[in-house]
Amino acid sequence: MIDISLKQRGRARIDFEVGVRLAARRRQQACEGILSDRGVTAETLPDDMDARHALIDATLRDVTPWTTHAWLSDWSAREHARVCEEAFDEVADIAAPALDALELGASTLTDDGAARPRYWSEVWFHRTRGGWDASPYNGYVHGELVHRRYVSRIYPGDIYAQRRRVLEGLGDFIARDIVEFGTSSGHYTVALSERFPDARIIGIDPSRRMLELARRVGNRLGRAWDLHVGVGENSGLPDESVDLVTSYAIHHELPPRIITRWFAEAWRLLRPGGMLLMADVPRYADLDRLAAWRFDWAAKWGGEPFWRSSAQMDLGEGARAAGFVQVTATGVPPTGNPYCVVGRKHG
Amino acid sequence: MADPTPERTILPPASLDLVADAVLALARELWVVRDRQMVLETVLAERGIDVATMIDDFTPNPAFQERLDAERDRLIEAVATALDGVR
Repeated sequence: MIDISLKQRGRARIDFEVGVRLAARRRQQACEGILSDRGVTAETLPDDMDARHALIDATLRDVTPWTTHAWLSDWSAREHARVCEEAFDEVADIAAPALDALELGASTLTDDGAARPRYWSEVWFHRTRGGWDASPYNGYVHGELVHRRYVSRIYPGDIYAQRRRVLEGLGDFIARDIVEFGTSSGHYTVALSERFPDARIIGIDPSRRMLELARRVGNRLGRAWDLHVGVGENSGLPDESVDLVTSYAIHHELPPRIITRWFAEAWRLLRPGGMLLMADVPRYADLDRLAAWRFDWAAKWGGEPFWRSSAQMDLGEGARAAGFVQVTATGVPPTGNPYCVVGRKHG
Repeated sequence: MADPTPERTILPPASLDLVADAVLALARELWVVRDRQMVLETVLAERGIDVATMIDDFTPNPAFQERLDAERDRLIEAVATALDGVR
């Protein structure tokens, strides 16, 4: 964690966004009770997701807390990143030099300036104004302020411990060379470094700003991460050059055709006997219809255009189709979130 | 590059009165805090304490953060409840 003290205004405004989101959640829970009272349950909801949305909206049309819930959710979706940006701006004169000082170290960042794919460059994921690379310190704004001061206080459980926990799926497997698709600001890379302290870790992500923060995190920890601006489906790395290909919470930001290419690229990069571990959001097929709708509603209004199509994919089958064996695909207990796919390349 | 979220109008026209209630409820809460802050800064300044700068640089400890969170939730609920139309 790279902790920078915020001014009172910035801190309080971020806290307020957390409160708005929690108030929305309380209304959602209350409205789900009303749905049940009116006979709309996981068992009675239609199979088609759009029809599910329509039925629930129609059932709650006269319930004003449902409208309030939508309004609060929309506000926090639009505002949370903005207040974090402005909170950073209030301390930028102190924070920016401190962050710049962490750019020197054993971790490196390579950017050959290649064009980013349209599925990434044309979308403001999470309704982030201007996209991930919108401002010079966006990596810190999103990787630290949004993630630690907003997201981690909204979602249940320790979202950082979850990153360590998924690695338990590898058992006692030892990796010397690891590639991570979708490194972002390096939260999962930290867990990889803890689990494989002697391994060489290559991180790939289309966002330069996020990788700049990952480089600072790596340097602060004394790690030598090899970070590349790029995409998992076309990593540019040599055949059979790593022992582990892994990712955390990225598939839902990819179109299914790209996910299929990720599995193929992982197969190409792995040495015989190497392992695949990819973790993402739960599969809709594993959830009841109400729970799946809950995820889908948040995705639909939260800047996640690929969530539904990716969450409907059978990732285990995707891994098998690419050639992986001993494939397991299951949610991590007790909530089933995240969902992990583990497989091995024939030794 | 753009926000991919579909366009929509969330609040129906019938909500306008409720929105006005919510804005006024918020303004009332804001005024209580602003009044209190001005009183506090003036009282302390009369005793030679520049509390405005100290507040800017203050980082809450966990116990105080819990108090802040509870008070924040109370404020948000006041606004949201007005919008709910629950009397």
